[in-house]
Amino acid sequence: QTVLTVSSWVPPTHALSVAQKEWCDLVEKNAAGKVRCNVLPRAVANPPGTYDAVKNGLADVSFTVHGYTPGRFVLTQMAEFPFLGDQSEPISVAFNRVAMKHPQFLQEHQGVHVLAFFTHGPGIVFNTKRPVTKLEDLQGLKWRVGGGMVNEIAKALGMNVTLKPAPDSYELLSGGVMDGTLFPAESIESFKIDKLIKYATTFPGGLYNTSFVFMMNQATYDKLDPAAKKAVDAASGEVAARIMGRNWDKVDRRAYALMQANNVQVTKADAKFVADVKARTAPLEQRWFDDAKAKGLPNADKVLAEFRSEIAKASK
Amino acid sequence: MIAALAGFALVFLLAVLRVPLSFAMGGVGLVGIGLTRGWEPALASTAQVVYETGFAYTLSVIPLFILMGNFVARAGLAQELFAAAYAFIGHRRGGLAHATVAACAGFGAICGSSIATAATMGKVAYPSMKELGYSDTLSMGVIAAGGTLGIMIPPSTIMVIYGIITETNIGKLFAAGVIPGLASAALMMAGIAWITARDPAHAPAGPRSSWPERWKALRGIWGVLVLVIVVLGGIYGGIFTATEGAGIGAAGAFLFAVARRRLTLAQLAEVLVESARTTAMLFTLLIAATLFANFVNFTSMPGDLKALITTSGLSPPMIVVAMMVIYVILGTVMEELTMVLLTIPLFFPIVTALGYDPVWFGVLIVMVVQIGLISPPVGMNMFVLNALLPGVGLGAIYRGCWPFVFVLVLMLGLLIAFPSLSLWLPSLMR
Amino acid sequence: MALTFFDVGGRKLLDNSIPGSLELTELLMVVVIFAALPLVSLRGEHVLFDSFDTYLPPRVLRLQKAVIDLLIAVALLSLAVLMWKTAGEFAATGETTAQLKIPKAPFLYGMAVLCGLAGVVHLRLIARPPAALAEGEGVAL
Ligand code: NA
Ligand code: NA
Repeated sequence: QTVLTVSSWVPPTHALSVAQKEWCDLVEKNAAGKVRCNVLPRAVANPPGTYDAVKNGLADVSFTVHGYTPGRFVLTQMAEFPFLGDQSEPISVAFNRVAMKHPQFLQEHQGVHVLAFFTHGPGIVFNTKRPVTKLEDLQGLKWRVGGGMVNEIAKALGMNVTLKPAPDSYELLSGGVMDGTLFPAESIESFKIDKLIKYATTFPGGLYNTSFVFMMNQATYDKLDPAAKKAVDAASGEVAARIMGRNWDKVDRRAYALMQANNVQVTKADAKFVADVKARTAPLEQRWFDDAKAKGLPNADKVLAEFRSEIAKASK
Repeated sequence: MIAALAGFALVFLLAVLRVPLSFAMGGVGLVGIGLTRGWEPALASTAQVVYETGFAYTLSVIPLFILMGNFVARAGLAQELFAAAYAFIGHRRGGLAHATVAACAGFGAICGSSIATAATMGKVAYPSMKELGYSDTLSMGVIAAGGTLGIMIPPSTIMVIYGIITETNIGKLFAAGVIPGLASAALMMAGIAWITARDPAHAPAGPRSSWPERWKALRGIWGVLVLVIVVLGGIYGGIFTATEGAGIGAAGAFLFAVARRRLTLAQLAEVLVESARTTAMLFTLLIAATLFANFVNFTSMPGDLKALITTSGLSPPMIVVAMMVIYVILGTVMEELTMVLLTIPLFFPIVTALGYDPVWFGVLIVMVVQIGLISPPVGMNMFVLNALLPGVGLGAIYRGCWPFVFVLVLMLGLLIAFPSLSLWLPSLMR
Repeated sequence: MALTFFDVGGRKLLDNSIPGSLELTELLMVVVIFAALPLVSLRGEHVLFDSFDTYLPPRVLRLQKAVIDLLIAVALLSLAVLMWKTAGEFAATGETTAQLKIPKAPFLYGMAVLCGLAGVVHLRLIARPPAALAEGEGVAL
């Protein structure tokens, strides 16, 4: 029997931990009990260290956010642009299809075996002060953002942002150090800020997204016997991306209900607001094309177009 | 389970053999991970823990609070606190002792270290007590015990360390320490009253200060008030985070030290280097504790312990009381930081599995550290006073501390019996 | 070295939201901590359990201390090699800080060198008799 040591840096009840457990159960079933997961009581490393922890074999299986290790991953920033889609599952499936098709994406992940690429739900603007209905409203408040493309987007929009880890949100917002934060719907529940938030602004397809990778230690994967490998492979790629996406969508829906229960005033960005954001963030795409080219993906513009059409296909 | 127990035993053995705790814990952690997960992951994760602990922003709160404490000690703020307290209650029997406790509580609100508080107040209060004819026993007991208020009343380095290794909100820990800190001070004063009532020879009364003198002395403490209001008020009022508060506190204390011409360039360099050294020493400990906790995480111990407790039939309060008894006994002979770092990976998961609040347990931990610091034979507060005042023997210090050990044990009992003493203030933060 | 460290505190007082002040703090922390590590070793300030010292014959104590210093030196020098290798990996992947895009590799090389320096300090300490712990204001609790 093979035992996979599995680590998660979010609480066991979080959608990501639940999805990871679901993947484990599927692998166990596929392998008829020959492969088993041992989920550790505590994460083996903090979020930014998780990629290296899997690469070095401290844990066999875990997931991480690409943006937590700035400078290492360029191509995966593709999945963090604005207006990609309204649900995690189709974006994750499309992301996985496109990224697995172009070997350059896997080349950025030397040392780990990628089980799946995925994203969270559409990024939303939350704040405690006033409704945000236009670009100027965004520029007038102080925001917490995580790392990666969302930081670039916020800068392009002229927002006053500070990079702080997601778990600091409660302290920052409750104390009034920051006015708002950029999060997917789910996070207001898991970071316990649901009672603090008064206003939310949603964008068609989300203001931003965050790209994740679900991965296994390369040596662990190589050492699996053929039957076990088959069981893992059968649960990976699009299957795993769907598991992640589906679990995320589920808690996103629950969070929307929670917002309603807490009387959060939800604004849908109007056409003018969306057009303003589009105009400001368009140069980011061009910059990504150049960066991707430098990283060995010459036709990045076509890849992004392909990604968008795959999302559209998967959303049907 | 056996692997983890062997690990704990080995760390204890190495520590007793005089291996510095950081190297004992780190080494055992590394070897443990090597044996359970393989050597390559063990080495790689060691490197990872080292650089990530170094790059962790939240940890910068430690050096900044240490820096603040060191500047405050130089700025002469302790003298003013003591002078004010003395002016009001110095003429009563044992008044100087009461004044010392009050000044310690005030100083504790700007300094995060028990030892620094005891050392500073030792320099400030002891000469006055000596002059008035106080017994060395009482003086030493009061200063050593009062010094421990420095880690219960926020800011507090041990709370920061506890918060980091258990991932507990440091702001809430700070809030939780306020009432227990003030209550401890009150109990200490009650203890002084009892001692001086039984044997008035310990503490002759001093001259009475006139009211104009009192108001003048009271005006002298504005510096302390400003720092307390800015730092703690800023943290709770939401102007900045605990880390930023520490930075601003350090800057403020620096300005006071400069404004009062208490700081030459050479002294400034000395304070900075001293703070950096303390920080480096603490970080090696944190790195080692993380490595060791990582190793325990790979063993079956956390699960096994949980199962053991649930089948043991002991009621949850009894389990906590048993832990505290162990701590108080260990604290008499062990260096307290060692004690906490070694036992937290063992006790903390049990306590949280029983459903207790990590903030409450954190306050209990601070309390047992306070007790350990003044419980003979081994306790840093006593050693510091001994080193600072060579004329006073360790024996007198020991005798002076005993009554206050009992006072603090009583306080510990109250904190266990009435969790709201610690949890009420942080509950307001939600 | 530590002066710049204070600088951060000072600037925070003037303006709370200097972009990247958080990252500067982190990087300065690394510099301060690892630069102070050899000093901690030099002054014998690592937390250790010395309660039995008075019961041991001086010669035994001296031997014990020499052996432990040697072990620590080996540990620190190995750690230095390990950190140097890790620094090389950081240089290869080009990892930077999130906001200011400062490369992390040079800081890791610095950590490696200073760990090694602390190891050398312990090598030199082998010959020195055990001194009383430097107690006083530098301690943490
Ligand atoms: Na304090
Ligand atoms: Na003690």
